[in-house]
Amino acid sequence: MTTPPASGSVPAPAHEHPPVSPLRYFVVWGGLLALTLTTFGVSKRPMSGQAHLGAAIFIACVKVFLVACFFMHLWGSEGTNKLVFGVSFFFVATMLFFVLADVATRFTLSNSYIRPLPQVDQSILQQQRPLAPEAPAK
Amino acid sequence: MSSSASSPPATANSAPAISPGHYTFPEHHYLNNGKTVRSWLLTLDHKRIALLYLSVVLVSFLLGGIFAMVIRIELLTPGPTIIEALTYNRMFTLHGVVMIFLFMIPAIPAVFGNFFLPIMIGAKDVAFPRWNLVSFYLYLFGAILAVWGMVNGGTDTGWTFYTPYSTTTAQGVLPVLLGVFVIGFSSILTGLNFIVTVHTLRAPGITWFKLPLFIWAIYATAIIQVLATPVIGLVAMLLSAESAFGFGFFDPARGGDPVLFQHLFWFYSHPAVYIMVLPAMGVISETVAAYSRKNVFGYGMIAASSLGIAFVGFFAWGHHLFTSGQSAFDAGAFAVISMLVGVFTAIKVFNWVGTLYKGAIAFTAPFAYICGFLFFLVFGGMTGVALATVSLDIHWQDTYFVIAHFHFIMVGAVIMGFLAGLHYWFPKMFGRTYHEGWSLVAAALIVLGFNATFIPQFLLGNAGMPRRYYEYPERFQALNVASTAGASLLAFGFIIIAIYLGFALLYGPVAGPNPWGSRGYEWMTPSPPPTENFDVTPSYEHPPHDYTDDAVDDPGFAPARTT
Amino acid sequence: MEATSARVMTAEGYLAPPPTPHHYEGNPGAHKHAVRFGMWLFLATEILLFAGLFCGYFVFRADFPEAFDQAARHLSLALGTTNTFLLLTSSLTVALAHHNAEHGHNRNAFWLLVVSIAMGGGFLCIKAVEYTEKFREGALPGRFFSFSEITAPGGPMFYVVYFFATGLHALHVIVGMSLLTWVAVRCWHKEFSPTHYAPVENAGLYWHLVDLVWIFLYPLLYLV
Repeated sequence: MTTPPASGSVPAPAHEHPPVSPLRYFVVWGGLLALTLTTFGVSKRPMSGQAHLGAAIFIACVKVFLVACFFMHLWGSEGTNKLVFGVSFFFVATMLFFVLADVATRFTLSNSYIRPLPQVDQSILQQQRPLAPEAPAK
Repeated sequence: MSSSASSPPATANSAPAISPGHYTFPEHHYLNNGKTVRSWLLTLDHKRIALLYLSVVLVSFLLGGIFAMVIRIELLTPGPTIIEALTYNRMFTLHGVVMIFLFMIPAIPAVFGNFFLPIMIGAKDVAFPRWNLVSFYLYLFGAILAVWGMVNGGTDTGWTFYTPYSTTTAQGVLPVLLGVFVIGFSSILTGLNFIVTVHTLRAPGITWFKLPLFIWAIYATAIIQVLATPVIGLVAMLLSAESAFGFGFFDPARGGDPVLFQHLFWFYSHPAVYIMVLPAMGVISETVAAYSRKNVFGYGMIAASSLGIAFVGFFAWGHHLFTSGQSAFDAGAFAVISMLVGVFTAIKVFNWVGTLYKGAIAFTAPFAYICGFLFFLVFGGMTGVALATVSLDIHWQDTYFVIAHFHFIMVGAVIMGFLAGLHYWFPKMFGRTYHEGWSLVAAALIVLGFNATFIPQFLLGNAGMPRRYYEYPERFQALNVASTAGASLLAFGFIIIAIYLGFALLYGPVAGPNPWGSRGYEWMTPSPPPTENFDVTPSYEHPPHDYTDDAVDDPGFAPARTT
Repeated sequence: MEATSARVMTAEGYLAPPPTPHHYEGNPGAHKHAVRFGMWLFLATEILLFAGLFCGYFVFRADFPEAFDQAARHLSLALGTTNTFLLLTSSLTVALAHHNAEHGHNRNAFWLLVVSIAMGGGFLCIKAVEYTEKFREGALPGRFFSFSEITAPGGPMFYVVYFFATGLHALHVIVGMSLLTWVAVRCWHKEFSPTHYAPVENAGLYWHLVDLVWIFLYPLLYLV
């Protein structure tokens, strides 16, 4: 006995009619190469370290968007797939945010932009961080 | 639909007892469809896979319980009692790893989720039956590897594997980590399977807001399993590499950061506790309606709060790092967010109590476990909110207060939920009922034994007794002895359960399709169900847990089979 | 596993599609959606797997900015960029292979997959060259570090992140190549048709994910 298709159980398959021409893939590929060259070029320009990082990540995100949408066919795909992809990045961002916030605000080392709280022990600034030992000391 | 096999009529004022055994056992069902060992070990039937999981899960529980008893017996005296210090460390490591990874994480989802998810949504199986079987064998292999690794290597780091000890100890950690990694994959595949099943295999008529509440809980759990478990996989790899090669990822002498380990470890392990508790909450949602014969109060809020707990649970991991050197900013943020989880839990508790209110209560063993669950969830949860207060946690961290808190949730809530589900669904899974009297005796022993075991531990922790300590000052002995006595009661209760359920499996009276007169969707099929789950796919006209028209027997609950 | 021997060659030149599994009977659209959705969920787990490594990268970069800067300059930009080019192009060929399989052109798909696998192999070769170079220089993680050209503290940490991230990524490249090989063999047997091409799509999705991870790794390790 066959059951009729579930009402509202499955979104209408968005994928049943594949694009006729593969040209779009070549266009996207060209875009990706152009973006890679851009990222390379930007890295050569004199900018602050933060700006380099920001630019690199931004361009990488655009490339990821292109690959995901067109090579991985997210663009015409069911909403649940897009949700899964988006949500996973959201949680990666969460992990990064809290861990980096911890490192950034933990002590006031030279790489932190937070001014020291008066009661935080500043003697740690006096300590040297040792280089890796010459011989394996394990 | 024949009327000769109808469940006993139940009105709003009468509480149904377990139906007398005047039903005939169904002729063809999933248990006798294929009797070879091969048909069990290579089955693709989600119900059989659930039973495979059940057997390994119960063995794991027994193992974990034995380790717990060894710990408690050792703690009877302030000095050495029956084992030496290093063995003690190995015992609590074994207890933690076995209980968490081998029992708690798979127990309710992999057993009851596997068994009932397809039935409750009117499907014939989960989305990917072969991956379901793979998932079981990964779990089995990982479990054997982890236990062998701990026994062989003498792992003594505790289940949390904190650096630097875990990366510098001479005791072996690599096989355990590999075992945990493999079990993680099993968990991921199960979660993936369940999510896809809920999305694509719902029968016509079951919309999202007609899903039984157990399904909402399993769905939320599956989301956590898929998103959080890969991180513990990475942690296992990083720890193994550090332990084997001294890379220095977590070693400050080489520039690494031990707190980074804790961040990554708890990013999984905190959502993991919601993997453990959400399914138990789902079981309670189901049973609370069945044993008060009332519609669930606030269905939408319970469903939403399941997702809410899953979501917020991902942002709370830093409360395990309050005393580890985390920044004050992070500590504050995590403290506030951790308290938010209490809001969603409270919503559920209010709704469950609202369901019980003015219901026709049947005081059966599952109901006793519901009572235990509510009591322990409230107290365990409130102590959780207290622990989330950073200033209080400075005092309580790494004491028995924390141990008592999480055992209130993990044993008091989750295991009560597991037992409630086991007793509620035992007739459905095996077609037989168990002895009511003994079940109540065991429930009493377990609830009372639990109190006797863990309330002293709150007091111990508050008085300052640290956790994972082999020896303690004389003044803590009385409470430790009390706790061990309680643990013995608990153990006794579990043994009694094993006996009467084992007996019922073979000799119990035939249950019939719906001994509880429950309106859950899974009761609309014979007990035990046929391999294809249904003879006739039910029409789901009523919402789940719907008791509004119980003056008349709902024919949907009297299945077609009469012999 | 569908046995290809049980399936009949159709007039269009590819095998008849396998029957819908019994629990999806009457709803093949739901099954197709389920297979794709399941793959995306698996990709989400892979994304979360690499997340912790990116976490480690940013933490140690924040702790040791000068060492990271110096170490990044000592990586071969030419090799890294070539690898990027290889992976991006192999993503193109995999997408084209999927496109061909969707239309039932199994032989085209086969050759495109072969090219993709070859590019993956090329990526691994270049990685091997880079690793050998690192071993020679002593630019190794943790206690094996002895690269004198990195003078700022924290040099070993860069290489811990570098080796772990690229190593885990290379492992995924190998897995991806294996999946593509398996699918390519099935293309050779003309298994795919307009109604049955999910294995190509899923193997392709995995390969694209491998590419996605590299898209982030490349600038973080080589450029900034």
